[in-house]
Amino acid sequence: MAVIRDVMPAFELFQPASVSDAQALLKRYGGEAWLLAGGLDSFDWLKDRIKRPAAVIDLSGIADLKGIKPWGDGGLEIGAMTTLTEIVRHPVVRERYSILLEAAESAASPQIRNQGTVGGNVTQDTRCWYYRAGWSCYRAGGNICYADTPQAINREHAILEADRCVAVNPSDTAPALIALDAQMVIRTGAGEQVIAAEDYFVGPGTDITRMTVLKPGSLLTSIRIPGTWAASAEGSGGAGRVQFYFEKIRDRNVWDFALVSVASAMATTGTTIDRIRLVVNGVAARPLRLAAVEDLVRGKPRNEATAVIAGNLAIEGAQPLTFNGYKVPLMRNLVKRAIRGVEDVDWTS
Amino acid sequence: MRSIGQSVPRLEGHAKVTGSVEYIHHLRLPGMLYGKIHRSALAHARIVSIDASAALALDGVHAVITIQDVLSLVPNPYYGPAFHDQPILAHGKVRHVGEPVAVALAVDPHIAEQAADLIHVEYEPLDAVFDEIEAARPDAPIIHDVLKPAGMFTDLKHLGGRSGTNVALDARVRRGDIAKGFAEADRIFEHTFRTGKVIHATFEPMVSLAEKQGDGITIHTASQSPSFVRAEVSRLLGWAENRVRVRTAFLGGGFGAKLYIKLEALVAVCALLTGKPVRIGLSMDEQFYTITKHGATVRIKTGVTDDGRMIAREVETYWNGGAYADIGPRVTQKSGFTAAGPYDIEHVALDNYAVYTNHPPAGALRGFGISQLVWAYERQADIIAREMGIDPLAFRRKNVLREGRPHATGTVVTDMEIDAVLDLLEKRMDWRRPFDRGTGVIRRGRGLAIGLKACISPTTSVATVLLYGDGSCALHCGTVDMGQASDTAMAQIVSEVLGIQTQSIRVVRPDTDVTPYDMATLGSRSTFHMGNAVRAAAEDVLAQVFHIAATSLDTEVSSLECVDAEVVSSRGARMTLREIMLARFAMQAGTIVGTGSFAPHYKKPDPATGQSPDVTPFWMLGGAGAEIEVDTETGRIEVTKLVNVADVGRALNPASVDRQLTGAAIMQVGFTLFEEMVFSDGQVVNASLADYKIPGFLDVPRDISAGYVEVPHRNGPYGAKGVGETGVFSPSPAIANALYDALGVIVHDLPLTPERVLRAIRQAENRPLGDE
Ligand SMILES: Cc1cc2nc3c(=O)[nH]c(=O)nc-3n(C[C@H](O)[C@H](O)[C@H](O)COP(=O)(O)OP(=O)(O)OC[C@H]3O[C@@H](n4cnc5c(N)ncnc54)[C@H](O)[C@@H]3O)c2cc1C
Repeated sequence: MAVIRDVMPAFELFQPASVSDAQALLKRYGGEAWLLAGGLDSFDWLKDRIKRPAAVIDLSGIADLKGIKPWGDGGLEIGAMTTLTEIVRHPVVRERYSILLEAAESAASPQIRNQGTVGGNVTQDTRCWYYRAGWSCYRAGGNICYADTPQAINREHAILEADRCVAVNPSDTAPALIALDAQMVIRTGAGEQVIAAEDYFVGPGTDITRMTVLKPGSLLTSIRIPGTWAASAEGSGGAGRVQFYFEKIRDRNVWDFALVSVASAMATTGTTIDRIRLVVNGVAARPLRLAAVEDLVRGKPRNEATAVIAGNLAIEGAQPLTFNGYKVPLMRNLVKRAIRGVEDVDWTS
Repeated sequence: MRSIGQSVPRLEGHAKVTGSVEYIHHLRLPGMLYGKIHRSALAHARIVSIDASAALALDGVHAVITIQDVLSLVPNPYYGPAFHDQPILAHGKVRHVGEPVAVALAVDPHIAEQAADLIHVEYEPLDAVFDEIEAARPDAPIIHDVLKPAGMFTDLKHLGGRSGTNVALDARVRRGDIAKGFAEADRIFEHTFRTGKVIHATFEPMVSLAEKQGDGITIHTASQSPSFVRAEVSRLLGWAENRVRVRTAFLGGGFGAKLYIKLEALVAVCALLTGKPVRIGLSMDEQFYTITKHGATVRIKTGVTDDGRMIAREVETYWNGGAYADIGPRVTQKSGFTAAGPYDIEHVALDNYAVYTNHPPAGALRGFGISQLVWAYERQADIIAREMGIDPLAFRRKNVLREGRPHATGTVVTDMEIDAVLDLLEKRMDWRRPFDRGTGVIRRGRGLAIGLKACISPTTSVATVLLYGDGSCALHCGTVDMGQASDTAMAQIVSEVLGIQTQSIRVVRPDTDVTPYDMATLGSRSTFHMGNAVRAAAEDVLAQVFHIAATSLDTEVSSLECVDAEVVSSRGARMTLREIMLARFAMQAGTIVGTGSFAPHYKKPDPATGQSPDVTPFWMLGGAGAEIEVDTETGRIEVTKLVNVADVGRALNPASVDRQLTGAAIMQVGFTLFEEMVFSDGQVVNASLADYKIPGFLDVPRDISAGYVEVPHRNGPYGAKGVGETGVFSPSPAIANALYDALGVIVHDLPLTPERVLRAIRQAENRPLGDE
């Protein structure tokens, strides 16, 4: 509590107009540089003085990083600096990738979505309140996890893949992007690199101080969504009909992070599941693609029995902490719903 | 002119929406220093040393103030409305995380903040205690060496000098013979209910400025209690009250957070020590460490006969008061005596304990402790009703406290429309209609609850109404408008008496150099107390006006009426207020001053039994009905319908009453579904509005409405009672009762997060969480 969080401390601000200028600044300042997108996560860290970068590089003046355009065979390329509101309002997203619309629209509040970018959304840091309050935990370079002590309050923390740190990934768009098999376009000092969305996120076992693969000096420039998982038009019940499922459980209806969320893209013929990608977030330090569950349900009918075995397999190995045991049935039930749907639930609320 | 009962638009409405009203938050004074507080990082510790050298070395830092500096000006630096237990800055030890230890004063807030961070304090940690039950045990770490009751409340005097305990106050009520009651009961129900801590979350954080002026001091502060601030600051300084001026403006919310002394003593001392104006404004986070609502543990035991009548009730409540008493002991006692609820129960024993803990201080939060008790007795009412096979509404009708019957304190209940409130709830909830609870994943339920409060007593209000030379009118009134539209209601009363348009009446903001004494804006007391004082002041003006008119028009006072700013006689002679001023002062000038005051009659309860023939000026009764949908796979509750009903005596301004009830309901939805301060070793881990969740618009129930019953109270101004808190009593248990109705699960604690609901579902299925 000794730390006061009121006014913004001083830092040097750079406003490059091109990706290469931004890269030059990143190179100059190395680990002392902070990339600023919409600022909604960034300013929290700076204002609270938990992170004290020497230089802040504002990406908002780089036109190349903004906007949504067609890509490849029916897909889309979304610039990292595109706001969540632009995604929500985009006609092609609405028509073909409604799962991304739902995920983006479930984030935060309208004002935050007007300002917050998709690049910032997938790159944002964890919400673990001990870490964010500046306690010197493993993730902050210390040698303890305050969320995993006997008295710790950890209802929002991980039930899977914990490794010293028990923080979870807070991004709403991340599971939807993984379900759509999106690709992340990264600019590093060595050039451009394209990786699958599911590999963009890392757990503490890989790197305890980071939530993504981005190392100092790199930036995310865009996200590509392939045409493979575009939703089928209404009423086209034929082979390979793609349907989405997204649900986010939170304490309040607005301005709140997920306790657990689920995203799936599924292609069915009749009631048989042909292809599926299934992702859960809020349960581990990275969004988890449930490949084993996907393998299990592929070729099976979309019904209660399949949903039950899927749910049970999904939570295998879950290790709840003192206060987050409820996340285990929550995750199981959300996976069940992603498989079989729920008749009397209004998904939009 | 009829103003009373009209939804007159707010006087300040236009200025508020166009952003031009004054808030203390915006005030800057020439040459002003900004203060930032260095706060304790520990919950309980002895202060070994304070090193401010690094802070003082910073360019732009004017001073660092610690208790040593304070003592040079204020030898006894302890303040508080109930106990003089809170030091202006930590004195020898700290008793909660976030306690102010030192203040850095600088020309710029950034520098002040940096400096506050550079102050180094060395501590010797002490054992801390956080839970109210543990803290009340004899072997608990002791937080205050001796109890120091303030002089203001005579019934606390006997506690002076008591040592070796964290129990600041025990207050009891005894009626009938509790042992006999339980012996005669056919069934006995016993439960323990809990509520955690929540905060007021006012959007304008606490802020105070002070400036030395001549031999006095002016304090500009966002306060609900300017008169108290003046009295307490002058007591601390050893000055006469007339040397201390306290003024306020509109408040960006109060809800009880901005009562008594918060930053005022500190800024006053800083301004006097430095000779410069000083401003201290808190951040949102700091508010979490300044004042909270009480957490409470309520053990409630009720004896019922086979025909569903409650005949015995024993309630033992432990109130988590935090490190300083603030108004906690009053909450404990004045709400504690209503713990048996709005029920006619023959044998009652109520015990209330105000307990010090190492949490931030707890005080009043909209309802003054009532909602913690209603949570317990109304949750239990539904459990009893269900177990006995009685409809919850019928169970309440069988047991409620009706006109003319003695309350547990012995005071006979009058002017409380309990049946009308139940009737209105029944109608709005369409209670007799068959209700579809569903069979699938989503289940539905409905519930209701009623709650009782006794307006705190005794308190005083004084008002002045002035008629100026041109016949225009002003009201000097110490009631602080913090959004409840009190200015408008008070102006309506003046309007009603003098026949002047409400909109043309000038309401002068509280300023102790100008506005007369008012105890404080709290506890739903203003409409009743200040309303009566304002009415009396306006009537005083009217009497003077009539006297002048009667002389000028050569008629009897009894033949006069005041309509549309004109005095009219029964024979049709007329005189405008302007003309009356001319007649009185022989030129178009002068002032007619009317004064009024109000203090209700009151009899102090007997300390041993809590019995009093006259314990409150008016009873407040509120009820709520809720319909919910609960998702059994996720534990999410959606409140689909919420009806909030109150007995208001008379709605002076129906639109304002509606908003008070609806606003209270939404606030309570937050406390019911997700608001909760989360503590870890005394630290508030969610001390920000990102992690501590207050409701947003999407959380407002789709179908939300308010309803009220109007039967004029015999002593209220035009029959009105207070209504600011009535809406918070019942929504929480109504929603939880709806959950009970939907699934049969029992929750004892708030809030009803998906997590807690899932846990309760699994508990009810006998498969506690963790066995996956
Ligand atoms: C009150 C509140 C509620 C919120 N609720 C939600 C919610 O419900 N769901 C949710 O998903 N999120 C939520 N957020 C989190 C998040 O801040 C927003 O979702 C937003 O999208 C973040 O984007 P930004 O542009 O503001 O990112 P910034 O805050 O500017 O950046 C976030 C991080 O990403 C890095 N970064 C940004 N862009 C790039 C890039 N192109 N390359 C490399 N690194 C980059 C920054 O350096 C920083 O570390 C909430 C935030 C707040 C303040």
